[in-house]
Amino acid sequence: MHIYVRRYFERNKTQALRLLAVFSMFVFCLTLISVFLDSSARGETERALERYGSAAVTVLNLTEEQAELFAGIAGADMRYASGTLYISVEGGKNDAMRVLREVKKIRDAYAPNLMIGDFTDPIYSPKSSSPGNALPFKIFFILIQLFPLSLTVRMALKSQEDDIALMRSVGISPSKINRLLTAELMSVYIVSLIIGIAAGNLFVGLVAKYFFNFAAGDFTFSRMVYRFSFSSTLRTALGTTAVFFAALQLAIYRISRREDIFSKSYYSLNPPKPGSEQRLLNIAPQKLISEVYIKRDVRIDRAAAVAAVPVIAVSFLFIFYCGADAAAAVDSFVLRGHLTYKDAYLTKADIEDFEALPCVDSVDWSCRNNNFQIKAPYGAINAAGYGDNYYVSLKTFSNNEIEELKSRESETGNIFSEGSIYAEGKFSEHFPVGETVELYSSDGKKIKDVIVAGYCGKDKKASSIMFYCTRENYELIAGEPPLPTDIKITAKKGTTDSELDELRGLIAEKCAGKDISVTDTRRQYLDSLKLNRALTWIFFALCFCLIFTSAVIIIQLQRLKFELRREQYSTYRLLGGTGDVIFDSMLRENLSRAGAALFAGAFFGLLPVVAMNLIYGVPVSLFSVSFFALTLAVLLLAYLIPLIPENKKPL
Amino acid sequence: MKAIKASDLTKMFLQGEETIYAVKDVFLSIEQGEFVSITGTSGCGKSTLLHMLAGLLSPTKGKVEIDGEDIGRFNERESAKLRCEKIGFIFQQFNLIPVMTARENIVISSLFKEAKLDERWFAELVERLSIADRLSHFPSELSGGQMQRVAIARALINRPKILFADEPTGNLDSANADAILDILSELHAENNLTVVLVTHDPEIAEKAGRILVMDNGEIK
Repeated sequence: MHIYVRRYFERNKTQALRLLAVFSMFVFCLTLISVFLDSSARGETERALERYGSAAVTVLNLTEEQAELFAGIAGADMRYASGTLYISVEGGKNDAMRVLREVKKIRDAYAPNLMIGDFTDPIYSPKSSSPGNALPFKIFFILIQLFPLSLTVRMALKSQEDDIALMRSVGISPSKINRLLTAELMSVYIVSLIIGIAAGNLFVGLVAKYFFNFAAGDFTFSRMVYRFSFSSTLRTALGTTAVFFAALQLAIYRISRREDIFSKSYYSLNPPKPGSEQRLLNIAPQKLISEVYIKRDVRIDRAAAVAAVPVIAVSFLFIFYCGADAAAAVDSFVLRGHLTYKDAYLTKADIEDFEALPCVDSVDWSCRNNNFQIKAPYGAINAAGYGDNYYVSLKTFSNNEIEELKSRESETGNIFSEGSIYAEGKFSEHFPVGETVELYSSDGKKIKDVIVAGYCGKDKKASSIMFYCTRENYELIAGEPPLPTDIKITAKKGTTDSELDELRGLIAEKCAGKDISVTDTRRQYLDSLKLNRALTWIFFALCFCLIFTSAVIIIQLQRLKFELRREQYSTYRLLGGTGDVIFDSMLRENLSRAGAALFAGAFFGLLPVVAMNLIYGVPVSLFSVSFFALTLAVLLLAYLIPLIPENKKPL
Repeated sequence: MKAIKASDLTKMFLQGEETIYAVKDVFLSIEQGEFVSITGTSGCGKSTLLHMLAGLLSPTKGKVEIDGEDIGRFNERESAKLRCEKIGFIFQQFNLIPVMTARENIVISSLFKEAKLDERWFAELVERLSIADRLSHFPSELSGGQMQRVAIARALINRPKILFADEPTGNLDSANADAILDILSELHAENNLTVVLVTHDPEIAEKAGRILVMDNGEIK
């Protein structure tokens, strides 16, 4: 067997190199996805650890006395800081879920208004590598890669058809032939496995180092940490090898066990249409030749055509994703802040300080939604799905909502007035217009009696009861000053990053020691550019693999096709056909096949893009369009390259 | 008038350091309308000689003239024109295009000539060759004899002056072989067709007007 394998490589160096390239790309692609997703999950875990520590559950906006209520939960480690109780859980997910249930029970019994943060999901677990997320990607790519892989193997075997037939005819059994072919292709694959895994790890390592090295903290929204993992590499190697071996056996099985061992018939002959004889009298010979091959010699080229379809579709989807994401990142300068601890709320004076900064265009803010509450009857609470709470928080309209409701007064018939209550959905059945309700502050202090003034309209689907109160009149109605919890600061157009730093500094000063989360859209935008650049490199590598593989397959298939037709082209020349006529027929045929393949690829690639554009209005970047054009050009070229030497061959 | 004239025709191959003469110093002339058979044992060079006479293989030495023109000086376009207008070929393996029907296989020859198909001649040929009812069939659907008949029709559709036949009956049974040879003889007689037939079978060779026997690349 080893003599056969050695001879094979001595005789077929070029083919062995081609196979090595295609197999390496296959391994590289799957390694890339595997390492990329592992590294991405590792980065996310690290970020979650920084942000939440090892907390599985958090309780927000509580005092130190309230935090004491949760102290008795078994298997949980408590840490109180800045109005937030961080609860870490020793043990697995089941323990975390148990702790979460107990926390909820205590909260409902003693302090129903407290908010609970739930991080029991595995994504927040420090040891999580979220393998479940990687699996669909891997399956998707395996399916995509299986097709070119199986084609390449079948092609390689096709060129050995005569050898295989001869071996069969001298009595070598199909299983022995199977072993020989497996040995020769597996020996190429083993080299490819090393190359592919090394290249995949190297590539992701470089991308993680140079493109995912973002600033840590709240502003960061994605991170990737590369570390070589032997177990992950082993899993990838075993997985790809299993897939490869299966594809190999499927391809070899048929050829090694063929009944008719010397048959080379691969034609799918469709008879000419009745009455088409007359057309034969006026047709150009090159046209007739190309037409008969296009219509009747379909199997091998159909395969090549189909090979182009997923490549274009997938590559375009990827580059669309990268390009569109980058294009969608708006060049905005908005800082949003959300304060989660009552004692750390900002004041109106703080807002005025922000407004005084020269770079600030506007400061929008709103109060907490549950600053006002009413006592609600059991039926209403249950109907609205509020559980067993006795008090129901009232929603305060945000300024935007108020503006919208005001603008629709004539349409809805409701005249919204300051300091009034409006019910909707199921609540309207229990709080009829004109009824008086008692208004309480969030700490249970009665403020005043209020009359239900109307309904908020049927366009609001959630069943709730709402308190109409503009922030200007908040103090007058509530009897206490407003405490801004959510702020949105919009900077002026053309604000530089150094000017924004002044604003950031003021936020840091005002919110020092407070539990605040800030979204800085400018930094997000800058981060997204880095992320997109990194993703583009990853996707570019994947696209390159797919395009390269597909191009190699197309070129090989075309060469094989012309090789199989060598005698036929000689016959045409014997009958008086010139090299130019034959070349013309080849060109027509391949342009037609490439056109069909590329059109189908473009169609399937563009379909989701157009759908995304229509549904979400996502723009398509110029980069993605130009890359798409390049992909088409490369694949078109792959169809044309094999033509060059064909008409020059001797008879 | 001489249809074919070969002078000092030699074809040699190098095998390692050894020189092998497939055809050596052949002088030959064939008159228009003559039926010549070239015979000899396997490997004596008869097919190589035929291929050189037909311009399919360039000689190492010497020249071939067809209708007084040295075909060795022809460029690709002139060679193609020669094959279209003056020469027809028949092979042992038929060399039909598998994706074309019998009709298309025949017509493609006339399409290369860029002349209008002589429909009357086409009808006469297919009738004579008894393939009129098989014109819509692909080669894989025809018998060996039928395939050779299609090949003959294809070779003659452009009314060539010379027909080169390389073992045309090698793949056929004796009944079919006789039928094909009869047809060739009739077409030769009726159309003043020059036929050069290569065969290893002495019986078939005897059907020709002149027999050339080759041995070790030379005509005896």
